[in-house]
Amino acid sequence: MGSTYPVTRVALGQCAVEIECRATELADALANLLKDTRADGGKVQTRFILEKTPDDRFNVLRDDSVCYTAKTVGSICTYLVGEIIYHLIENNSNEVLLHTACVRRDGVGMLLPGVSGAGKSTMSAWLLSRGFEYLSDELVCLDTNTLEVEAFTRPLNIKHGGMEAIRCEFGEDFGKNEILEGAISHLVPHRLLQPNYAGSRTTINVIVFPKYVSSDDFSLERLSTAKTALLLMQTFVNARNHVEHGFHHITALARTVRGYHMHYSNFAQLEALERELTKPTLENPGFLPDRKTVS
Amino acid sequence: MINDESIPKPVEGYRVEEMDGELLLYHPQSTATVYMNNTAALVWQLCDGSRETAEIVSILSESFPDASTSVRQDVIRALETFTEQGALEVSGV
Repeated sequence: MGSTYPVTRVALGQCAVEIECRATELADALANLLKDTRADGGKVQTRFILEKTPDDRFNVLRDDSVCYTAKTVGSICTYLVGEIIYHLIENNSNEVLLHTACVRRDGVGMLLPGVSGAGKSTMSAWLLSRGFEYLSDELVCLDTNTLEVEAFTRPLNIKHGGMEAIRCEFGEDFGKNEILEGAISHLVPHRLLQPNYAGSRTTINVIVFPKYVSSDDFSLERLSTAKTALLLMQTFVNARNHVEHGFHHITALARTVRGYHMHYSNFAQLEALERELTKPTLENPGFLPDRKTVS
Repeated sequence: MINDESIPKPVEGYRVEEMDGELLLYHPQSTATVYMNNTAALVWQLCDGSRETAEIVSILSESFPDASTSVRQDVIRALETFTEQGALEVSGV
């Protein structure tokens, strides 16, 4: 006999994770946070159970063992989102998963790969305020045949310090009842940022490798194809699951996009990035540069 | 230390991708990725395991006479970098 508790399914590429929720508070919060992640398709390889304890704490269980306990819904959801991502990566040996943020404008996408602290989330939020669609601040799955990506539309994960900038952009009352507060960050539901969400699959024309620096220096450097591929290899989180670590998939993607390296210290400087991307030229008359032709 | 008689040879197993004149090398076992700009790529392509450093310098000096005074230094620097990165083995040192 199957479970009578609600089950949330989260898929990316060919892998999926299931979460059986035995606590109403968590079920509602998860439904809100994961509204825009894909539920269908993919093979389920990991299953979590969420439960409430008699002393009003919450447990996350995997394989019948408690792997995390916390007092607040925000902390449990932050942990769970991280675990979902880990298992989607760990179990995927067919597709290329890149640690990167992803935004889109006029149907063409931009990746913002970087290590934690590089500013992927805050930069995504700023670009959202400039008319870009927010797709992910963490992970995309590359279709190696079409070189399109499916973005993992998890909630935007903003460190506590970054919320001030978000509220400056979107108003003091932005997401007052929907944003969850965890131990070290806030979770902003994807749907809150993207009310007219229309799917996470997109072509990629531009890759910007951002680096947040505390000084006032700003730089935007166009990268060669080889340098773009070199930096992309560092974001390829399931490379070890692939033959030859999927090197040829990364070089194939690098050949079709324009890469930039950017140092920035505040949002105002990002205007220069927008100008560069929207600068009309003979070869690139549109908002974003045309996708390069694969030779 | 690399000298004129050193014979640089690519370490086996590297997969090489040429991209607009630059090279990206990847070694599946060591998971090392090595980037080479256009100049470094020219040096790499002359490292066939039989040429001595002096021959590589000579070939490049003839091809780029305007830069011939700095070629030797550039070649040795590139070979040292490739060796440090594990992409080259050097014999005859």
